[in-house]
Amino acid sequence: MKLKIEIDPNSPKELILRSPVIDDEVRRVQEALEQALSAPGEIALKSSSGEIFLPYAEILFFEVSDNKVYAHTQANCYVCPMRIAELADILPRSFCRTSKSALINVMRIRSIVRSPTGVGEVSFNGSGKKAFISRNYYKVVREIIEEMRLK
Amino acid sequence: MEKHLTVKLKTKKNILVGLLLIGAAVLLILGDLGLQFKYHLETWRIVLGLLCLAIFVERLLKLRLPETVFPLAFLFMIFEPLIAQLVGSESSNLISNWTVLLAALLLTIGLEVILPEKFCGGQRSVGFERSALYLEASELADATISDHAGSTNVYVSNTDAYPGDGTIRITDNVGSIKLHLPGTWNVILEHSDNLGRVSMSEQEGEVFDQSITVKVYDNVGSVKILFD
Repeated sequence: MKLKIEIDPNSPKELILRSPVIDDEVRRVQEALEQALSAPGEIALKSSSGEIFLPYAEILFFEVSDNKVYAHTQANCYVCPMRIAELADILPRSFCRTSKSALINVMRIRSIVRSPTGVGEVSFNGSGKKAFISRNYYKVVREIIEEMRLK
Repeated sequence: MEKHLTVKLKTKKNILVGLLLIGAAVLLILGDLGLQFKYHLETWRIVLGLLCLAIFVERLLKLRLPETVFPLAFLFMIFEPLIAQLVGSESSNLISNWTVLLAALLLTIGLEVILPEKFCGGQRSVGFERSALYLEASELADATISDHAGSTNVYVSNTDAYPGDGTIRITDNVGSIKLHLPGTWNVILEHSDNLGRVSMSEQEGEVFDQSITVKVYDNVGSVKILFD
């Protein structure tokens, strides 16, 4: 599929998908565009003094511990007031479920090391933090990385 | 690159265990020498009693009150004949063992429910699993973590709210702990290890805005301090 951007100062901002048929690829692009357009781009997290608003791109991963969801940035972490399932619904596709208790920003992954048991240990760009991909989610995560970063 | 630190720390627990073992040895020798006590005590009662007492004192010192009930119950059961003698009871069986155990169970559950978390093992503890623990930066004045055969990543949340000069105590038994701290914190590491490995990654900057003391007791495990 080709991507073409036409610059026309007199035209309103609009996105048109032109295709002879509606296939999986078109649906996927439509879904990604809809999500990107509807997403606010920032998330509200709890900080000691109240709330802090961070762009999605700053989040490395979300993780559940003791019934709380923690959002990890490069050098800090904050409690997120939403549940992991709610986050999976509202976050862009670059955040994918890697276990029942974690969501990872695939755009920030530096490397994945798989253990003999099939669990993937993820390290991130610019941080010593690690997250894990469970065996059952590995294939899906790998497909999303392939689709978003390697094509 | 990692640097290995060799500051040694004798924990209160080591001293307590040492004193109890010495006490047990003295009592056993005195018993074998035929020294007559006012009340006769068998060796197994002394050994088991000291063990229960050690567990009781250890739990008490850690303020884990619900966990002190069962050692007390066992102490009562072990020394029941002696207590019966002391109170002048004709029977050596004051209360049925099952009643004591059931009462201990109910007391433990009751205390767990009633007492605030800091009296119920408010320290963070994990075992036999891969997990993540989170410490709130504003509560780092005195935080305790224990890991038994687990693999744990420990993070500090809301680091901007850290008041400074806190202490994190880590007990690691055959586990692996990675403690993630901000690179701008100066870490004072004190550790005592028994065939364990405690290491700290090198900090890039030389200007620190906060300071924290990390005290590690590592027993055949691995503790790493990493800077994010």
